[in-house]
Amino acid sequence: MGSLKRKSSWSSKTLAKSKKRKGPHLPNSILKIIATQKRPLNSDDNEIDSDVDLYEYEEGIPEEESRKNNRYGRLDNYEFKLPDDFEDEDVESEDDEDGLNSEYDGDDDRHTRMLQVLTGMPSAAFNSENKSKPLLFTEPYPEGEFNPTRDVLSGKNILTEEDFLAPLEEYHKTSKQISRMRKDTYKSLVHPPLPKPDRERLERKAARGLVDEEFSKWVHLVKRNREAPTVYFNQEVVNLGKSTVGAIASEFQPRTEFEMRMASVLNDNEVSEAHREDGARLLELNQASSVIYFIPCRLHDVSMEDHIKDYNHIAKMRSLLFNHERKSKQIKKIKSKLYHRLKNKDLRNSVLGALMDPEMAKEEAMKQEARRVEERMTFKHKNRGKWAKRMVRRGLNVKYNGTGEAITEQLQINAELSRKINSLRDGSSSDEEELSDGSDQDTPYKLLAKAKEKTLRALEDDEVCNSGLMSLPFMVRAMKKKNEEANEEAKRAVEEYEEWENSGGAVKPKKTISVSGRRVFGAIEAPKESKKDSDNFYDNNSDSDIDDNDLEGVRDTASPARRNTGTTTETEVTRDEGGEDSESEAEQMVDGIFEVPSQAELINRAFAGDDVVGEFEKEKQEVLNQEVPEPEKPVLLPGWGQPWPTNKRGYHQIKTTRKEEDAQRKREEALKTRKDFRLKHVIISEKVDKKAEKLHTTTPPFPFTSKEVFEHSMRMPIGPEFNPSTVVGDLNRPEVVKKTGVIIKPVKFEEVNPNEEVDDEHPRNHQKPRLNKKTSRRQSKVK
Amino acid sequence: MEVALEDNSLMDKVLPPDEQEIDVELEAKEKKYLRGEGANLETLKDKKLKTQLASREKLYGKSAKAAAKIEKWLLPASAGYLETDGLEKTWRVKQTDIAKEVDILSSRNQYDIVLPDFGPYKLDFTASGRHMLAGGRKGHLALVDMMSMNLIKEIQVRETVRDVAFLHNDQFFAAAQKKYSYIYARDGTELHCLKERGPVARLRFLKNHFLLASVNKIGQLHYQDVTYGDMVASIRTGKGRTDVMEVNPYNGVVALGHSGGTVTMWKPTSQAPLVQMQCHPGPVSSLAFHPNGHLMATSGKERKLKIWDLRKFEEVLGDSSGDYSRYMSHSMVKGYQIEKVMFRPYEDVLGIGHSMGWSSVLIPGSGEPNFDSWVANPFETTKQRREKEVHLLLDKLPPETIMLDPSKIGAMRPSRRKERLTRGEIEAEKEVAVEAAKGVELKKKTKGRNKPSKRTKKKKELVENAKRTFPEQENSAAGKKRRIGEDAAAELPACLKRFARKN
Repeated sequence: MGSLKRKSSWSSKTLAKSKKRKGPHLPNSILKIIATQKRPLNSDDNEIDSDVDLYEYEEGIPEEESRKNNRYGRLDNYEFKLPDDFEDEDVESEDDEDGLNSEYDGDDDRHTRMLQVLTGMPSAAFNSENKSKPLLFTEPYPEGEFNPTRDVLSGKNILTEEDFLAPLEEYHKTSKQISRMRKDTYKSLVHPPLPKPDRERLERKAARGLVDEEFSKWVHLVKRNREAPTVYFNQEVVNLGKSTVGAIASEFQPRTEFEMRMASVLNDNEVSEAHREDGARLLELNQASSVIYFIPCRLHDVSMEDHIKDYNHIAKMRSLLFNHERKSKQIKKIKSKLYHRLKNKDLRNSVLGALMDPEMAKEEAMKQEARRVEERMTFKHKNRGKWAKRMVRRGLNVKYNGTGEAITEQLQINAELSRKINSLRDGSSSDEEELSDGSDQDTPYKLLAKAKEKTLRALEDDEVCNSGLMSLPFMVRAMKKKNEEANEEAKRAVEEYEEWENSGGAVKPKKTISVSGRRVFGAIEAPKESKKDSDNFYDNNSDSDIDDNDLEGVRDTASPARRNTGTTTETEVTRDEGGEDSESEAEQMVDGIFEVPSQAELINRAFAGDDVVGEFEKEKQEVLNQEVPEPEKPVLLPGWGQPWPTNKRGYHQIKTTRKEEDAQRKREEALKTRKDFRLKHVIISEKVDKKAEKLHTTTPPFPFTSKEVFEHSMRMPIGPEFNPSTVVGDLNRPEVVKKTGVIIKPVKFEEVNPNEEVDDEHPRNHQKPRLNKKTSRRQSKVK
Repeated sequence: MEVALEDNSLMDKVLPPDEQEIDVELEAKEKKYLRGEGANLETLKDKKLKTQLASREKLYGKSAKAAAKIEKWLLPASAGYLETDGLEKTWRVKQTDIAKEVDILSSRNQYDIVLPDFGPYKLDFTASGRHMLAGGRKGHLALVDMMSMNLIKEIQVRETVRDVAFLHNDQFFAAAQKKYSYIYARDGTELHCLKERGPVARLRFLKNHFLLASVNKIGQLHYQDVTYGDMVASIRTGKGRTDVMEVNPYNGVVALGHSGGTVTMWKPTSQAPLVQMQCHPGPVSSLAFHPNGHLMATSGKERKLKIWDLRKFEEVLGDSSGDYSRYMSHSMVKGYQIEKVMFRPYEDVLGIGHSMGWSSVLIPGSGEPNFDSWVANPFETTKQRREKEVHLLLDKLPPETIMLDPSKIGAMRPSRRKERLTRGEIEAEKEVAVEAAKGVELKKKTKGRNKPSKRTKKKKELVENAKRTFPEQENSAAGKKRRIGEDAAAELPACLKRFARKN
């Protein structure tokens, strides 16, 4: 009953238990065994509990409380509930004597009384029943004189040895013994072990001390190796064995079948002898051996005839192929008759052909002439043909482009042919004239007459066109004036001709050609020639007067030309002089006629470009602007992006923004930091040479961290050109010196004097004592 | 001998008395060979690097010491000089006077070669000074062995010859002729005709880079690689015709003198001049470089000679100062036109090419007394010459290594960023700004606003504003830095953020 009640108060615990006890219903005996195994046997209370549990109805968790789903509104559990992990330690204490007046006991009393009343039996019966249930004892043994009290158990008032010994102290004799005993007791006193972490820490500490000691032995060695500029490995003499090709070859042992066979041939005495002495024998042997060794069995079966047959067959096929190829090539070359005809025609038509062959040219010319004649006679190409007429009548439609083109082409041909005729005529006529001129040179009279005639004719026809611009009054006047002048000239000319006719002197008729009433623009050849002539024969020209006159006669035309020629010749002369100057100077020097320039001249020369300095400054400014560009001016027009006029006058003030000022300041600073800032006469370019950039590092190489240290370490050259031979080796020794092909052994411990200076300069010397040391140590060990 | 033996037996514990004496001269030489100070290793945190560099420095010191000792004890000759007693000026000493004093070998170097027919002569020496090339203006080319005074080859090209130049050794030489320039072999065979350059005025050979530089009549500068014949660069100088051209032997930079009095310096990899200097008010007549490349001498048509320090691009005080005064003078026959003046390497000899042939005079102290067979050997055998040629070709430098300061090769790239202003400069600027703010004239405003109190307030404000800009700049810089760090942290993935460096 009591247990039931307790249940209610421990609802939570049972709940937890009930959850566990789900499963198959086992027979009681088994369950009991399980229970006894689980719990200590002497805890009766629990036993009972387990008994009860087996037969008790177990109420599941009400659905409201299970909170599996929120079907029910949340019910507040007002019953006090212990936490799940609550350990009911004090339960026992409830059963103590101290807690007799507790509620639980009170309940019991009441219960017994109730039973007494109901049954009429003495309460002892019930009590015995009640007492038969063993009480829970918290102490292992009943309280008594010889049993430790609860205090003692809890460790409060422990009896020490002193307590026992205190009464004995009175006896002096025993005091010594006691003290000894005390000591013993102290000795034998075993302290409880330290907590594990502390113990471990201590262990580690001790171990570290040991390891430190072990390792610190190596520190000096490691330090020395680290700081050594060169580390040497395997300095002892090691025999690496044979390495030459001959040595390796001599070791060769034939293993495979092929190798064996080769060896047998190579080592055959017969063969080697033959090789040494008799060539013919060697040949024989070779054939024999080839038959034996090298001709595979399959080939061996083929007879000589078959071989020849095969060979012939191949040759035949090859020749066939060759012929076929040749034929195809020929075919490619063959061209049709038409092709050749066209080609020839082209050649004939081309100018090249005409040039090449005079006969052909002649033929061509004849043909051309014939065509021309035909054209002239028939107007073949004037679109007078039936077809052309029809076409024209129908109208040159845009629809048929071809017809239009054809017609224009015909017209073109016509024009060409006719033009050619004209030009030919002109050419021929001029030629004739020239020829006649040439022929007339013998007969100046005739020529003079002709000239006279011409001038007269020119005088007579004063054609003045009276239309357009020429009809304007001032133009008319000007023309009149010109005409008059021309007339006068012509008259003069006529007079001259007459004079010459009378005098009968030698005349150069060419000059007269230019004398005409017409206006002439630009220079004419003839007067130039005359000028040249006059230049050449200036002194010995008999008829210079004629020349002069002549020149006078054509003054308006020839004078500019004359002037030109004059100037050109002059310049030529000066240039020649200039050119010769430097060359001739040398000659002059040789002759010893070197002119020392005067002081004034020198000064002139020195200050020829007076504003040299100013120019240089300008150039410097340019360079500076290029290398440190001026900040960009604002792109906005004045007024844009600014408030309404701020100036008194109402104009927009252009304010420099902070940005611009900054840029300007930056530029000034950049200029200040330039090397040539203070040097007026110097421009030092600070352009970055991209090609030379690879010769510099951007960051100091690994072990270095500062620029200065790195650059200072780089200041000395280490090559043999710059250092005495005694130091070059040390300066250029690699970091590691070792022998190739030898395994590097791990470092061995050796005693190092930490104060010893590392001797880098004489590594060889350094090495030897080390070796000696090692050997000595070994010896000592042996001893 | 005994003393020496004792020294040896004493080993290195006790230094011999000679060495104990501090040799100032040796120390100075050592310093020269150290080529500057080593870096301050104390600042280094990396111990390994520190010790390695320290050992390196020790080696450098050793090398320098050895070199200094070699220079002190093993170099056979020292540069001569002209010594006069008392008030006598050195430039009054004539060649005839010198001839009496010097040894026979040297006196053989005083001579005049009279060749009146083929005009003023151009001269060129090989690097060793063994061979000389003379090019007469009227086509006479002569190759002379200066040691034995033998004429090796003489050719007449029947053309104007404007300049001659040896290539890397005496086996080849180039001549700038009337229309094209040509390369000839030692025996006078024409090997190449260089048509691309046009009519060349001056020819120079850059021996470390194997470049034949030339400037033509229209002021174009060409660089041609003579090893494979490629035109490395052709630059239009844009300064007009010039016939003043010289190569800086230190860095291979070509300098041209122009009619405007400017000297421009060029390298093949850039179209713009490296340096332009306004040296003279009139045309530049000639140019010369000191072998160490730091000094340049120019002369102008206004009869002035100037010496320039090329490290600072400033004029070194001219001939009036003590350092540079007239040393010697040599008068030529009146009327001789001098075309070319050139010192013979490793000899105290000056070659003068003029209109009547060439002359050779003695200038004591002009030549380097000790030749280095690594550099140039006047007594070279054929085998050595061949060996040298191969070495030269292997050591050929690419054209981009021509720069004003070749010691910068292999160093860090010069930063393009400007240096920040120093504290003092900022202070100065601040003061200026404050002064400017104080000096601002305030406008006269309407009655109520024009109170003196308001005016002073306004003025104070202005000054404050002016002041405020400066610390702000610093703050902003710091803020920017911080921001950069933050950005870097922000970019990292979340897992790596904790490793981001905290400032």
